[in-house]
Amino acid sequence: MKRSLELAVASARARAVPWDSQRAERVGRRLAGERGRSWVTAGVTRFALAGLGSAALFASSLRLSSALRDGEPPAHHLEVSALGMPDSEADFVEPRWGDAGYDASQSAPFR
Amino acid sequence: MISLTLEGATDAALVERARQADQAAFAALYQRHARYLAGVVYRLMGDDAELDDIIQETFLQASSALSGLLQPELVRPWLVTIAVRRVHRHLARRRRRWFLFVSLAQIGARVSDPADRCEVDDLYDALDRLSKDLRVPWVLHRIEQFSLVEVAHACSVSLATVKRRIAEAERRLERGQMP
Repeated sequence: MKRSLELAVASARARAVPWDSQRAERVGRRLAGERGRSWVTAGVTRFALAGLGSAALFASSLRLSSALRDGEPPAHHLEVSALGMPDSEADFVEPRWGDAGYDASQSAPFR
Repeated sequence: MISLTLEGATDAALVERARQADQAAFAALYQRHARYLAGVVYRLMGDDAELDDIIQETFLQASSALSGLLQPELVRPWLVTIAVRRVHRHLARRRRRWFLFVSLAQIGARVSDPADRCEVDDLYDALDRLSKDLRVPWVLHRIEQFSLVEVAHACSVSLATVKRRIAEAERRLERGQMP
C-alpha cells in the first residue's frame, strides 16, 4: 500500500499542468472584464453616494426656491409661526394704550 | 518599451505600480504567477474542471486586496494563500455535489477500460474521501513539495495543526483508503 501511494504521488507530480498560453489569455481576458466590472461597480457606488448627498442638497434648495416663488414661507418660518409668533412685520400689531394686554412698562421710553 | 521595463521589474515594484491602478503592472503579475498557481490548483483539485474559475477568482480577489499586502516581495506565497482558500470553497461545493459526482464517476468507470485508469486517478479518488482540511495540506506537502512552514502559511493554520493533519491524511491513505 505504501509503495502504491509513493507511486501515485510520483505520477501526480509528473502530470503536466493543462495551462497553455491560450488558456492564460482566455482567463486573463475574463479577469480583465471582471476587474473592469468591479471597478465600474465601485465607481458607480462612489458616484451614487456622492450624488445622494448632492441630490439631497439640491432637492432642499429646490423646495425652498419653489416655496419662495409660490409666496409660501420657507419651512423654518413655518416652524416659527407654529410657535405662535408673528411671521412677518405686517402680521405684527403693536398693542396700543387701552388694548387688552397693553403693558406700559414694555413701551419704548421715547414714545 | 513599457513591457520590457515591467518584465524586468521585481514583484515588489509591480505590486507598487498595480496599487496605483497601473493595469499593465497587474497584467505582468498575472503573466508571471498564473502558470505556477494553475499548477498548485490543478494538483489540489485533481482535475482542471474548475481551474479557470479558481485562477480568475484568485487574481480578482488579489486585485482588490493588493493594498493590504504587507510584504509586496512575497506576492507569490500570498497569491497561493488566496488560491488555497478558493480551492477550499470549490472543494466544499464539490462535496455538496458529491452524490452526483460519484454516480457519474461510477458510470464512467463502467464504460471505460480499467487499464486506462492510473495510480493518480486512484489517489484522487482516495483524496475525494478525505476532508478538505486533511487533503489540502497533504497535497501541498507531499505532491507540491511545500515545506511544513509554507503549508501552514498557505492554509492559514499553525505548524502543529499542519503536521497533525498531514500525518492523519497519510495514515488514512496508507491504511487502505487507496482503492
